[in-house]
Amino acid sequence: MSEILLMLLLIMLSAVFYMLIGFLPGTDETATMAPIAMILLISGMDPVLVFAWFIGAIVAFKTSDSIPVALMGIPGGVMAVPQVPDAIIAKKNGLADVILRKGIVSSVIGTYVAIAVAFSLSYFLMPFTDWLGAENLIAGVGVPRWFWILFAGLIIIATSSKNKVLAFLIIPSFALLVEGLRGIYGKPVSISFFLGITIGPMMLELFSSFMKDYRKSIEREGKLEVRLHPIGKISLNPFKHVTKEETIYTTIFGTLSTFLATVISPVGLTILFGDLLKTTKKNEVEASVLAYTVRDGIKNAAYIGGIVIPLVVIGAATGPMSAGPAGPFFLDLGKGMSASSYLSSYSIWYLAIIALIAATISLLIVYPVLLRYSRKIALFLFKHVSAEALYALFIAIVLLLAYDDAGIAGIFGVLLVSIISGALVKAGVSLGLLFMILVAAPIVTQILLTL
Amino acid sequence: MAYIELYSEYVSLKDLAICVPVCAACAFLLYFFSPVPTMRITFGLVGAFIGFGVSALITKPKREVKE
Repeated sequence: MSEILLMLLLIMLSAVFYMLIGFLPGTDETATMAPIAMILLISGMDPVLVFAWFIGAIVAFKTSDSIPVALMGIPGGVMAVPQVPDAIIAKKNGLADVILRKGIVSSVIGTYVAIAVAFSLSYFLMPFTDWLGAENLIAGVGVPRWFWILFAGLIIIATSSKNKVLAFLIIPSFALLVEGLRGIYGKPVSISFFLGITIGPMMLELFSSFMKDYRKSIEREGKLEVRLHPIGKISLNPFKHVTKEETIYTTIFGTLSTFLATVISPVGLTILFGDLLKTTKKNEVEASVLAYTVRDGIKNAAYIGGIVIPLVVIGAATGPMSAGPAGPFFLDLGKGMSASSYLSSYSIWYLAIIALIAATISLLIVYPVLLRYSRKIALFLFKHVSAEALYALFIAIVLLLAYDDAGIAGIFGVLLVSIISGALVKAGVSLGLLFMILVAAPIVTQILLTL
Repeated sequence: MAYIELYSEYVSLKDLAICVPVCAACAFLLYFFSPVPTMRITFGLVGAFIGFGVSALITKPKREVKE
């Protein structure tokens, strides 16, 4: 009983917290979700509860991160970036409240489509779990078969990186860095490196600002001007907000994204499918509203699919989502097994019900609040929560976990990994690729050493 | 004093130099002096959030909201 109450409380807390986080710019999904998931798992909380917390959090986060896009043209998270150009077109035509409500309802559709598809698909793929876990000898190294799904993901994401050459070349090099540090620490540390990659781009930017010349280039006078679009009263009836066409497209592309997010980046899917939909409309405004709406649903679907299938069927992180925000579920957190292997001992339908409960509670909180009070919340947060306080919170969590992992050396290890990751991202390598190399590192280096 | 643009936000390095030690100090304080030794990480997290609350109170956002 107390376990159920704790779960409900956790979901409600995560829904409120991540709904608010979704409003704030600069809140990267991995940076804001992974450290807390990691702490909950390390502290010995039942992984089922952490899974419920996680689903509640992503549903709230991915539903609210497009609100600042609709209201101000500023993305509330990395996933909301592709929606900005369409939101600007819609806003120019006085449709800010239209895209706001359509986006929220589409997120609800995307969430339920993803839960239904991800768990049903996982059920049919379950017989392959043992087959995927079996090892084949490659150059004298035992390679589990799931590694090839991860490998396919590595290739896809390296190919879609802005700097393809560096992305491919860095796979063995970054794997060597990770394994080298693990050798020095004398234990298979994962958390430090994971967090180092997460905060990499921000750390590089921050430390670069200590250089006078560089600082001048990013110096800004005055305050950041934020324009809040006025919004009228919005009905809570979801059927009033989306058209049949939008519902059908969200269902179709939500289904595809749920499955494809196993190996492909959710941001990539959001861009790809949104752009594809825009070609179906001649009118620019209609095209933007449709793309904006469906993208909101794809975000939720890709995030849920990206974690559920690797967690339930594969048992290993195989894509940027499972290796990124959901990464802590796949790491060995010091007890000889990951949360994912623990969760696989539960029936798939039990986990499906947990996900359904978590998503529904989260939406019951987030849906009415966002439809009615988006503007007031945005106003409060923008006036009272500084970016410095938020960045400091995540830096402090990273320092804490790095120390817990490998003492003072762990903190310097995080610094090294973060600066290298930041530099690689700046040079055009996808951050998701680095998370995936972290997962593949032991096998990649073993094969390298035998060559 | 001018701010720097970090992740689409305007940030004062001076304020950040106050907030990071505040959050880290609160986190490590509760981590090392956790009332329940097996829950050091959880208490560290609580500490980090206390630090966040304090930081939010002592710093002002660098945004100007126009309605």
